[in-house]
Amino acid sequence: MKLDKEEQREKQREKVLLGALECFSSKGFDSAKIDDIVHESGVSKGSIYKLFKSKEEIYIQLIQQNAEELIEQIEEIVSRHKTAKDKVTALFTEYLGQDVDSIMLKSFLVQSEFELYSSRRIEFKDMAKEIRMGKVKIVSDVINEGMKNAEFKNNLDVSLLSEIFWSYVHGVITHKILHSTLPYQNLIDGQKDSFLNRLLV
Amino acid sequence: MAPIVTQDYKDRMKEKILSSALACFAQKGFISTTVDDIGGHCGLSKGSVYNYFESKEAIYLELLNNATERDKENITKEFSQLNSALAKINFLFDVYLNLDPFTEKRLGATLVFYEFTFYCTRSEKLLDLLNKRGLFLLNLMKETLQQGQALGEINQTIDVNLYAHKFWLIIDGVSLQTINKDFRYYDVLQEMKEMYLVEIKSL
Repeated sequence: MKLDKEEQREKQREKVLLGALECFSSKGFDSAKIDDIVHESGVSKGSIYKLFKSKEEIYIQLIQQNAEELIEQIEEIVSRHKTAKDKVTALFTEYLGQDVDSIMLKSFLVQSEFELYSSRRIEFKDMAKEIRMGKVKIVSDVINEGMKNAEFKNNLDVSLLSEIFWSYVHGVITHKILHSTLPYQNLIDGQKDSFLNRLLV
Repeated sequence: MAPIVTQDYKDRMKEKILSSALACFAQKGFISTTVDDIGGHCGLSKGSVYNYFESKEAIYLELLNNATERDKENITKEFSQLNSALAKINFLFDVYLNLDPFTEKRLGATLVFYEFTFYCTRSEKLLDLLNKRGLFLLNLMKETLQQGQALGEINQTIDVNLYAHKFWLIIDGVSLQTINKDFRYYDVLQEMKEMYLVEIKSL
């Protein structure tokens, strides 16, 4: 049976975005050409331009999709645990501690470069801010939950703690890219314990 | 006869190129800046710039190395007056807690540095050069932690190499986020400092 048109379009869009992730992470946004994306995704230039106006639009959609997937991934990890303590633990062990398979590293690289890029490009600022607020919120929600059910102290500065978590993520993953061979697991465990200490009653 | 182009002249030209490069990088970013831009800024042709530097990457690395040399001098001087390893580590955290990361100048430098860092991940040769440049800072921390272990201030069981990295990844983590104006840099770093000190101190 033939795929219906909408489905086919979506499938192609995904192929282009996956190819784009490969190109933007290996070459950077500026150096990557549409032709590289054609080559990487196996989708013709004509078809790409039917789906996206420009390289910039591919970039924006890729960033947006990455950010949504990150939130979904964290929601999924958190939902597997009952107590807030276990949820916070999982943020460290299952999210930050996961084997940095190539897709996650590439996404992080592209996302971080976008953040740097957005600070010089006024038109990207709102989008960068929205992504950042979404990330801060999802960790804040977990901490708030722990405060509500009295697992955690009741006077916590929730957004600050969430920012600490994300600063740590930025630091660890940047170093994973630069020095891939360190035993990060031990490092993450230490940080998890300090962080929980700060939260638990 | 004296050489037509003296060493002194060459040095002055290099300085000129470096300071123009710094201005261009801060304004346009590392990636978007071209050697033409740098030449244009100091009134030289692209070809003349290439007489002094092999590439744009080489120009930035030289800027970075110069900055590291200045840091090295300051830190070494300060460290020579401190006996305790914990005092030294405190001092290093406080260097970052006492600066204003949101000034235009500092922010420009941060942006370019991390732009360059991520750029280097695409070339083994550049990554190697970048990591070599960071080696002084890493070793400094490692030696300080070792010294603290010898003095009984620092927990004997911690892996000093790992915790040296951890110090710098904390700094990288908070610095990367200063591109967001509303980021609570001081509060976050202060808390991370306290957590780090608890983790490394002797029981």
